[in-house]
Amino acid sequence: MNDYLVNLLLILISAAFINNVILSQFLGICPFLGISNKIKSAVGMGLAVIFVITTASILCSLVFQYILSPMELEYLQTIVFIIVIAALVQFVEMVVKKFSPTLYDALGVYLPLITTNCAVLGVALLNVENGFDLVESIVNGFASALGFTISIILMAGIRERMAYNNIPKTFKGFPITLVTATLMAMAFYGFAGLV
Amino acid sequence: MNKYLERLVNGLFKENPTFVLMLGMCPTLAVTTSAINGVGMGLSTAVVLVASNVIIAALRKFIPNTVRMPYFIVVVASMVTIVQLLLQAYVPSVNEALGIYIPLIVVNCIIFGRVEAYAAKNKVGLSLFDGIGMGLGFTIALVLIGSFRELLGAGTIFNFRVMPESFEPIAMFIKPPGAFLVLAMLTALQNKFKLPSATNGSAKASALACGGDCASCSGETYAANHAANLEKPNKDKDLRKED
Amino acid sequence: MSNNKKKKPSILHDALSLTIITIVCSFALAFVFEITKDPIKAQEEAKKNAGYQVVFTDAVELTTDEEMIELAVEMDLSTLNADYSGVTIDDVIQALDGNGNLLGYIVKSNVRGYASTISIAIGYSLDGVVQGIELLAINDTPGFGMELANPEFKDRFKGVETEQFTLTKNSASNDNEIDVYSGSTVTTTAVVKAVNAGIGFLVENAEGLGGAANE
Repeated sequence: MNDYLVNLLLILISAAFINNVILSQFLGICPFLGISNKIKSAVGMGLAVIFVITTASILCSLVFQYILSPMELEYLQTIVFIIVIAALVQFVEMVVKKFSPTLYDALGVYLPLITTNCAVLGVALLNVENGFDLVESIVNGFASALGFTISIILMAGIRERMAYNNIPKTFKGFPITLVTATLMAMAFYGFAGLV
Repeated sequence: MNKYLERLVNGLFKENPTFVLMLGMCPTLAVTTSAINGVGMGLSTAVVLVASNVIIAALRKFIPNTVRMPYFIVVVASMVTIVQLLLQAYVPSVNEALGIYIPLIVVNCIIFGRVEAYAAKNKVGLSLFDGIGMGLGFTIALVLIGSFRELLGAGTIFNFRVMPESFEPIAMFIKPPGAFLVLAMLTALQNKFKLPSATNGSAKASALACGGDCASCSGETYAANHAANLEKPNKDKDLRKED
Repeated sequence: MSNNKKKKPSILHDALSLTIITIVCSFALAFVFEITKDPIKAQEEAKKNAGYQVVFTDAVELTTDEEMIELAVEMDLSTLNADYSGVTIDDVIQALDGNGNLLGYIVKSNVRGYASTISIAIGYSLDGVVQGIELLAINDTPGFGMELANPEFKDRFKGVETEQFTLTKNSASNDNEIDVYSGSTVTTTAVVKAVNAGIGFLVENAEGLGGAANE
């Protein structure tokens, strides 16, 4: 039991920092570069991603373990997972819109974007590839999304300050954002020797 | 110019998905650690794109507008799975090198972008050439970036030693930070020489539902399109759930 | 949008067309799966055997030892030695020379690395010498856990006559001591544990091995 908890902790640290979805696995780059100009929207996107990835990890893990695996249909995982994720996002959007308009106003716009966020599908596939059980999948899903949220909020914080800086014309906009991402990736690379 | 040839040129140069439209950033950054990986990823994506384009173009008259997204998802995901199975069976080395990024072709915006913006509205032949042009354009871009990173990061191109022995490889270029740096330099050069690129707003606006241009996407265009869709009766939503 | 004017879309019609495309796609997938099933299996087999061959270069023929596999699957390795808990063995191969004489065994043991399962093939000859180890599957931190896949690390095990390896943080002085790779502590520990468990299992159970322990 103790070993199992240590194992979960290792998965958590590994997914959130060492194998950070954005800075080392390059999943979900689009929202990372696109929605990171303000901390407020970055937080919104981050929370939406945490919710969707964790839920999707649970669903996909259940579907894989109790439907695909016993029926030896593992090869259908890509198509099944993407459909599960698309349906999940639609469903969540409808529920949130109906029952909590305030929450919808805060997170609503980000939800549809998440369907095509490769981090969601990527994490679900990684869970299967690494042979994680349900609990491990949940931990991995949550931690990966946490890693995403940390990076996007850090990025937004840096960009908010950079808005007041005098940046050479050539580097304005996209290039300087990428240079920032380079430096962040280097910093996160330092976590690699952690475990 | 011949209109089929025009589609090829369009995909290769005028609207190159990587250099001009800035689509599919995730695989562009992730798998370009070597030239050979670029070839593998580029060609796999191209095959999926061509197949999906042709199928969707052939079926375009039968696809109900309300459920076209789930329709596309099913077709594209099937193509990806087929490509993955074929890779596993006949070129396992490529499959192993690219790993999870092969199934992730499903969510590559280039595929959905082209299927929605082009194949769903055009004839099979044109869609075929559009797919080939875009696919090859993507492949060439990945190979170029991959070669550059491999050259600096390992001193080789396609595993052939190019740099002199005395060259100490700058390993960072084949590690994650290098990917961001190379792309940063590329876009900076595009800015400097005012080359057409989505990143400096000089490329023509894309007709994609998400607005194209992942780089400066803030979800606004998508949200606007999405809201417009919601105005319509909610039938598509209900169906998506069943599926 | 223009479609809407032409024809009033009905849920039934939409659902039907989605169902049809899904069925067609499923058939296409099943078809490709059937075609590629055997080549994929063959590729996996080839890869596995290539890995096995490396750890026992003297062997000419490799045959699967079903009895031992059954034993290994049923056995709780932690009863041999508490250190082995968490290791599983799922393949045992007899390494034979050209005349069919038994030279030794190859075991495949699996252990939890720090983010994924690591599979290792260990070649162990009848005279108690490790013929080599090979990491068959390892997914730990790219660039770090992966360091262990380089020949230098694997060669530390090769040709050593021992029943147990020990980890050391100072530079190893004995043959059966393995240096911990900095930055890959968990992974190194896991690999050494899996190797020890594999050898431990063979010494305990395999015919013609280990002498005293075997009686």
